[in-house]
Amino acid sequence: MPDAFLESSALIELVFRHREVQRKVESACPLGGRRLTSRYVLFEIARGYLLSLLVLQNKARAVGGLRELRQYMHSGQQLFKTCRRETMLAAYEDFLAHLEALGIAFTEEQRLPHFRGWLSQHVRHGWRRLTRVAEAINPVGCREDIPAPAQKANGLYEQPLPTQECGLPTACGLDRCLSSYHADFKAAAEALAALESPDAETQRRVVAVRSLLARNAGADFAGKHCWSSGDAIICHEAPVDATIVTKNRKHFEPLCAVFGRTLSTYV
Amino acid sequence: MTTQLGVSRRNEIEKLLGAPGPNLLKDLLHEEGEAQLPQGRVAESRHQHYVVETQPGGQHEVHKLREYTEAELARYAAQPAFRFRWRCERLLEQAEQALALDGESLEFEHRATLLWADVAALSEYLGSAPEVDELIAALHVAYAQHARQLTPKPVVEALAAVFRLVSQHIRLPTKAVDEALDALDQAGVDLNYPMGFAKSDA
Repeated sequence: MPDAFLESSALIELVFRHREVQRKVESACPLGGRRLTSRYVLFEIARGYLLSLLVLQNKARAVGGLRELRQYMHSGQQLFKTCRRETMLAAYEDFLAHLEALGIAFTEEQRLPHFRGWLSQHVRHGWRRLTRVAEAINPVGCREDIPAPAQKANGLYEQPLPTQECGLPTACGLDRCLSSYHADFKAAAEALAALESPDAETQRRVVAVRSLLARNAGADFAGKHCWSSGDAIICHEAPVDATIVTKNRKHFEPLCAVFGRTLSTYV
Repeated sequence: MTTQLGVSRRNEIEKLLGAPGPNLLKDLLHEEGEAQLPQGRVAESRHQHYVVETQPGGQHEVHKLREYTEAELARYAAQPAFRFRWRCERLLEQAEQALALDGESLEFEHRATLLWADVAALSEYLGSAPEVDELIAALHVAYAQHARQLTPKPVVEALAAVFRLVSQHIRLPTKAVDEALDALDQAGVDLNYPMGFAKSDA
């Protein structure tokens, strides 16, 4: 039985979305095998999706009402953080729709603590589930010391991630991984660059992978190049005999073709 | 309309409650409170009250007053979080009464319906404490999934476990909230249920 390797989009949906979506992810996993993910995927979720929810949670503690929170999400400072803004708005709008469907009359004063209460437990519960639903492997040697999101004495949440060390060859195993599989990643960058009308994310990935490969082994690199190479690194670290489960067919299909991995997607 | 007699009695009660040291009224309230609180609770904080006297020369003298447990203090001026706990104790009784019945019976469903109505009414405690807000939000997620359909017995068992956890803690720690969430999760409650209404996309 092949194992399922859950990349970020699939793992987020399996852990943070409602049951109907979870079933879709499960149906894309091969029957009988184990469910795997990686430390790299967990780190990506923590510094992306989960961080957006933590920012929203902390902002919800600072505002006086849901209207103010909505204004914050639509404010100019969020315009250039598309992913963060979309994640925050989706959680907010989902929750409001849930409140409407509940059929309980809430006052404006009750709606904000209700939202804070829900989001807070959603984040903690989600983090606990992340490590329960799949076994994390670590062929890249990504950081293993990611703490759980925790509440400080002032009620705000924090999850101190070692992102400042991203780019130091001694901080993780990426440098060694790139040295060992230089040819694989070079082939991936070439394949992605040859795609017809690649999107902005793919273009960024090509630049990032080439930049990582161009430097001397053991030299520092820009942490953002590791992040931009994400899908390529994740696809490569998936065990050869596992099936990569993703919602992100667009970015994984060409990578799986280069690395010889099996892909399973869902809508 | 409050009569003069009523006002003077109220003043008298306030004086007795505010007076340092024990008195008959306080003792009576303590006894009533003790009777309401079941035994075997998690250890609670104790509050030692002092008064600082500033003398004409500027010197300070500290006089020790009485020591109160957290529950005793709450009995005099019940905080919403304490009232939430008391409400959960009553809900626990209701859940246990339902659990004594056959899960397939009409009477069980009737009691479950009444229980869900009371779960919905917990919204009045929103804003009491962050942990209380979290529990209410989770209970409302469970309510959304079961209020309009038959309630499986394991879900009522999970509700009882949640109410029991609340009743065991003077101040609800995050760990207890997480334990309560896990109980609901294991009983089949989809805690991510709200993440599917709008167009949210991971």
